[in-house]
Amino acid sequence: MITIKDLEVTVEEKVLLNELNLDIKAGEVHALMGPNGAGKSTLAKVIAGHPSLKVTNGSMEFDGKDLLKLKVHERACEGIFLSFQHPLEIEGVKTNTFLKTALNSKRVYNKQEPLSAVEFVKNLKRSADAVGIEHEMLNRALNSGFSGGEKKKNEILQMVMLKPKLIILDEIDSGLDIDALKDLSEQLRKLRTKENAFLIISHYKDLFEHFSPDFVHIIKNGTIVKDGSYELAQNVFEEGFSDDSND
Amino acid sequence: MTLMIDKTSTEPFILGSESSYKITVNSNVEIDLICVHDKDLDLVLEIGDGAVVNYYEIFKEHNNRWLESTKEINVGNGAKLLVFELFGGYEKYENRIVQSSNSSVEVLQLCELKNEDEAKSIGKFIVDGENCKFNQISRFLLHDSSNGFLESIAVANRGAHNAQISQAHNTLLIGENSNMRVHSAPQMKIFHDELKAKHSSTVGSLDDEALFYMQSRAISKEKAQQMLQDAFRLELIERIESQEFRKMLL
Repeated sequence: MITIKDLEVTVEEKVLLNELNLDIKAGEVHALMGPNGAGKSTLAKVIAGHPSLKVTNGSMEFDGKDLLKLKVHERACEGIFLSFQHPLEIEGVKTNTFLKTALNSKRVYNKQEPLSAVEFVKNLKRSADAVGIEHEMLNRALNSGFSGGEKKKNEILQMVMLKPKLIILDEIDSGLDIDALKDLSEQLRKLRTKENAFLIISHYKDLFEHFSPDFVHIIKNGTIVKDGSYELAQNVFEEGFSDDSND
Repeated sequence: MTLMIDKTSTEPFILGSESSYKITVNSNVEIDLICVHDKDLDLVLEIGDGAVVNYYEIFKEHNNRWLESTKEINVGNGAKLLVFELFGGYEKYENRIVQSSNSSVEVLQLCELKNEDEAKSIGKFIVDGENCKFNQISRFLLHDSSNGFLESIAVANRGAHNAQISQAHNTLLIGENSNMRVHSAPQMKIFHDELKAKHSSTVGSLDDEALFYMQSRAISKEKAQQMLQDAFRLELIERIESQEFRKMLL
């Protein structure tokens, strides 16, 4: 699915990621852990194509395509989805209009017919029901006035509708209470298939316990210093990011 | 032309064929006034107590010839007035509105300028009675090397007890290598202690993070930019209740 080799990323001549390697295959769940400022969100953003991040070395391939040659929206059309830690509030753009534009952009890119208004509304309502979003919210400006939990649910609604192949969750669990986190984890688990993959970034074990990642990577100073199974995450939760765990 | 409107009507009064109007709307009358014109306009509007007036104005195409709209409006006790002005290049609006007690006035302006277009809006809004509400939202979208001038002053006189006054000037600069200019100055003169008043002026380009968010959901940059510009307009456009005026805009 995605293969990242010797990735180096800079912003204003400051190196943020260096010699970073990562390989994620369909059906896998990967967890990315690391102290603040280690490069977790930078990696998430650079995969999605954030324009402020400059790839100065290395490569990223997604399903055989050179990601570095694709624009942000083309990466999304290919199946990459970055869930934001703080989804943006966009006044004046209604949630349903945003979703229809997004879904039909992706369909057209993939040489599918755009959905008619009727087909789209059916799809939207079905998806909203599955995620537990009130239909009234779909008429409101995107994420505007939504609670933290509602914003995260809205992110999941977008995943349900866009059906991405690689889902990157950048601290999607931040700011959620226990019940909201449990609900969110359930929704995310339903999205898991053999055809898609997850890269989960989190500081907290709750999401990992709900999701049981297949692989865990520790990132420090912009590079992955240790790979392992779920046990590695459990060690980190007990001992922190000590030098021992990075050997 | 002198007009007296003494009956409520669901049909709007269409103005614009003359260059000068003196209109009186009698007490408790509810009416929409729509002014579409291609020459200078001079309007004096007297709104009676308890009347409700929605006034919409737009210039027709005038080939970059400077045109001016000058309005002097007196709003009676308990009356409500909405002024909606949609304008473009080489147009100047000069408004003076005086409010009596318990009245409510909303001034909404939407202006879009391209190339080397210029436009000016100058307003003086006087709250002269108690329990008045005044709200101004003026939005400019500037492209290329256009030049917007937006200056308004809200005056709360000594009798403006318990007034609620709000002024917002928002300017959106479109384009990465452009050379647009804007003068935005919302001002207040307050001569009474017990009222609520706020004013703001924002000037900025499209939010890069919002653009990235939208692109990360499969929407092209160009489409995302268009959607954000539309959103900036839409918040005001949605306030147009007159179906007749909406049809004219289409």
